[in-house]
Amino acid sequence: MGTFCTEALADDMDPEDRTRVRDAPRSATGREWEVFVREDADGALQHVGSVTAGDADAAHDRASDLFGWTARDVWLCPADETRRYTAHTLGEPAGGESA
Amino acid sequence: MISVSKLLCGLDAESDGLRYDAAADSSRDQITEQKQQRPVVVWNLTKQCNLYCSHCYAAADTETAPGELSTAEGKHLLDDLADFGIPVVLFSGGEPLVRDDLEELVAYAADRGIRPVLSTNGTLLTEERAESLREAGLQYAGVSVDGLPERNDEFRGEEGAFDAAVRGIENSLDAGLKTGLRYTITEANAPDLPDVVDLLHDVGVDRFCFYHLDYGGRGADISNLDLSPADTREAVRTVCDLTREYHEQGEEIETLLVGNYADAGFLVEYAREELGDTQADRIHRYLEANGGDPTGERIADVDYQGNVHLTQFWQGYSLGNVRDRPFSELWSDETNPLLSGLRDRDDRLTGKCAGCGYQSICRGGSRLRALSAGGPFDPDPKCYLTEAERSGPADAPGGSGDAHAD
Ligand code: SF4
Repeated sequence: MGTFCTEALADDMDPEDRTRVRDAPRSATGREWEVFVREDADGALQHVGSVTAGDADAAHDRASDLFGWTARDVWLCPADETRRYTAHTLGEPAGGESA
Repeated sequence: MISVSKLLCGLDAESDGLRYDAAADSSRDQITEQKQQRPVVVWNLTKQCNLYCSHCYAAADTETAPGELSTAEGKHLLDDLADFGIPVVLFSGGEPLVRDDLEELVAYAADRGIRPVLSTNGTLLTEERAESLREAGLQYAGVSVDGLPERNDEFRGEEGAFDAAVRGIENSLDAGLKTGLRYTITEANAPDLPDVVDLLHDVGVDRFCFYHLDYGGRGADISNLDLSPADTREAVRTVCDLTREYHEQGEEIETLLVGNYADAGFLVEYAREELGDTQADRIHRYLEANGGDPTGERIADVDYQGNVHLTQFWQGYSLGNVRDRPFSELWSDETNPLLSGLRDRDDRLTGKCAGCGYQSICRGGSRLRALSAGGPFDPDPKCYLTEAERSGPADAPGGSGDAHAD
């Protein structure tokens, strides 16, 4: 159902309706890595969250612990190199001040 | 979360329908015949803390983290949580009292019909703050103390922290707030447990939540300080014994165990030994209705930067971030195989959990500790039940037929 909804919305949506999520740090204890997995050779690559790890190999280890039982392929993207654009907004960020 | 006092001392009096959810820090009656539908959400408001506790799962320190959720973002988050039917938000940290918008957020949650509760080290809970929090609509304050004064101060990295926490507890009670103790049991402080209960009961506390150590944040570094299985069992027995002793003396303290559902099996065994089969069967039925380990279902966490986690201790993995996607969507997205796998874990549990007679009331215990031992469906390494206990009870009550407790 999630897929249909997303596609229906995407058809109707003006790119202007999406805003870029600000590049706020996603972890204060290490680097954050977006995790994508593919379950079967012909399946779609799916975003399944993120892990905190010092480097890509450590992130792969963490993701494998979590998803090794179901994933065939695992892709990792540094969250701070990933630009996210969404129709969802969460209100005003704190700006320069501490929250 | 398992309410020892209700199960061992309260079931006779309670005919039915007590609520039982995942938040030890919600002061509501916690047992129900129905499984809770929406999770209790822990919100780590800030990374900043005025103390430096060795077991802190949030890896808090003296600075705020960059990009913490603002007041406005927090209110949007609370709107989403309210619309989604979240029953309780537990404001936590870091130390939530370092944020001066805490009262504003507590009031906003209360206005939106969410029950706001607080987890604090107590040291900043002045008369004024306790008063303003009560006025804002706070329903409960859980204050962490982890041992007698010397041990607590060592654990918390500051001399005088124990006395400061007790002052905070007194201020909270004086303001008319329901106030309880949070105590994380470790090898170092297990012997202090009865004396701490005594001491704080004298101060006026009547609710005591005992947490097993979960392996996340700095807690992971001190997993070697965790109790052995035999000592864990002893500590849990102590909680059961002291609960009954207080109640026998007419002191109706409330005691809860959090973070290790092997306790559920132990409680049934304990009741069978001490209170007889009828009571043990009744306890089993209540625990079964509650549903065992809550990971991925009845507890969730949003950290200070908006990342959503499976539990407050499981900070190394996030389902997504509330700046990208609302909590309600992240939590409902069962295309995430880990989320759906944990919800539907019964046939996935491996090793000794797979054939365990108490699986229906435990569900494998902590999935985070299981991960530290190998994978998300491995057995919890902190399970302390014996093989004989795990293979029984032969005809567990509640598994069929008479599903309703009387
Ligand atoms: S063997 Fe697994 S399911 Fe059984 S009590 Fe231990 S942790 Fe729970």
